[in-house]
Amino acid sequence: MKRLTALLLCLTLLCAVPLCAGATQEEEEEETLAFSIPAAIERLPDETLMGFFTDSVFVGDSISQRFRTYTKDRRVEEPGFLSNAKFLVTQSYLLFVASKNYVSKVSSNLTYQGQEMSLCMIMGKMKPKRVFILLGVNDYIGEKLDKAEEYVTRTVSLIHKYSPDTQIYFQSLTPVTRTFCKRKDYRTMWDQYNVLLKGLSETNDFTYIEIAQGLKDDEGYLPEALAMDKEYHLNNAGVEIWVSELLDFAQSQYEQGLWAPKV
Amino acid sequence: MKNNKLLPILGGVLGVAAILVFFLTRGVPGNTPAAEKLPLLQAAQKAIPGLDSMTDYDGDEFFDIVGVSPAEYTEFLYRTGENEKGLVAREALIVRARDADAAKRVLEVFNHYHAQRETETRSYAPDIYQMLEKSSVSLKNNTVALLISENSAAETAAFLAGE
Repeated sequence: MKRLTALLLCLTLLCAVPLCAGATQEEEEEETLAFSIPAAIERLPDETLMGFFTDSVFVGDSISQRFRTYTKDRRVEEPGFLSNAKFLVTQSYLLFVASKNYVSKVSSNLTYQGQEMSLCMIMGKMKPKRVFILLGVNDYIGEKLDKAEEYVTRTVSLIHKYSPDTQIYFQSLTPVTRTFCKRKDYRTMWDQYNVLLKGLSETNDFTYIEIAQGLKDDEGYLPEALAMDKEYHLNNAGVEIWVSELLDFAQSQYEQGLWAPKV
Repeated sequence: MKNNKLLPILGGVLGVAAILVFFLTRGVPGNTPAAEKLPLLQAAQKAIPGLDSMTDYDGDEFFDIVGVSPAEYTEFLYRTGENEKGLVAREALIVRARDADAAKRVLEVFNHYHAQRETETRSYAPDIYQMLEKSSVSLKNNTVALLISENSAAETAAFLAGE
């Protein structure tokens, strides 16, 4: 009897060992899962991110005209730079004029295929997938914040009317140099406009892209090392930062599931 | 006897024929035969200093920005150069139009473009506006040129000499 009891006890002990080991293993696995970090979304290569700008148009004034020249020169060696994005730029173009559905008789207008046209009409003809707008400097829009909301919302509304499927992006105003601010603190005014623009993007059908921060020094000015004219026109180094900000934005759209590169 | 009368007549006919052949192969004085024209880029490089450092645009961009359709020309050139402030200042717009009617249409488009650039720069960039005032559209044979620069007249004359 004693032998039988001892045998049964040994058998029981032998069976219990693997069960305990299994439980421990499960606990370990649970611990592992509890402390595991979700795999980070990979940063796409720049060449892939540039696909975000396929069938897009950049609209602006002389600041964007500089961007166009930079892009054209880059495309000599890199034909896929910013994909096939086009540019609609006029040196002294106003956000005020962009908000109209007719051409201005006093201010400069955009032209398309030899014709002066309003921005919304050109959008109706081009029907781009995306339009990236950077305007307001020539309006001194930081001094007219009360008008800024009207100009921006009307521009968005008109583009949607003429080209409903075009996604609209307003880029922040790029910063200005300390030299440019000698007469007035345009730096603060530009920043206030950018804050307003960002706020408007939350209640209107467009997306705000922050491109200014990477161009600012510690005091919020555009360093003269990034300016061609000691005022606000970016040199190539400045435009490179601008492009970098745009690629970061494209990456954020990918991470949020709002865009995927074509395979 | 008959041969003596025929020889001067024959000589006259041959002489006239020779003159006709000469002009048919050389063309009317003042016209550069097409076979002697350099390709447009080479011709422009000889006449326009700094052309190679200017930004080059393709046909689609030329149509979108200036408004000249590819149907109007056999060759074109559109380049821009920036000033020290990063603004587009110098421009070279040249078209070898397909025919005289196309050349007239291109002339009109170039004049319109020139006027638009003046509006754009009159208050905003007075130095560029002054350069535009010194520049004008020129037409020779079926070649239309608008060279916007400080030395527009000289560059235009140098370029059109070979057209």
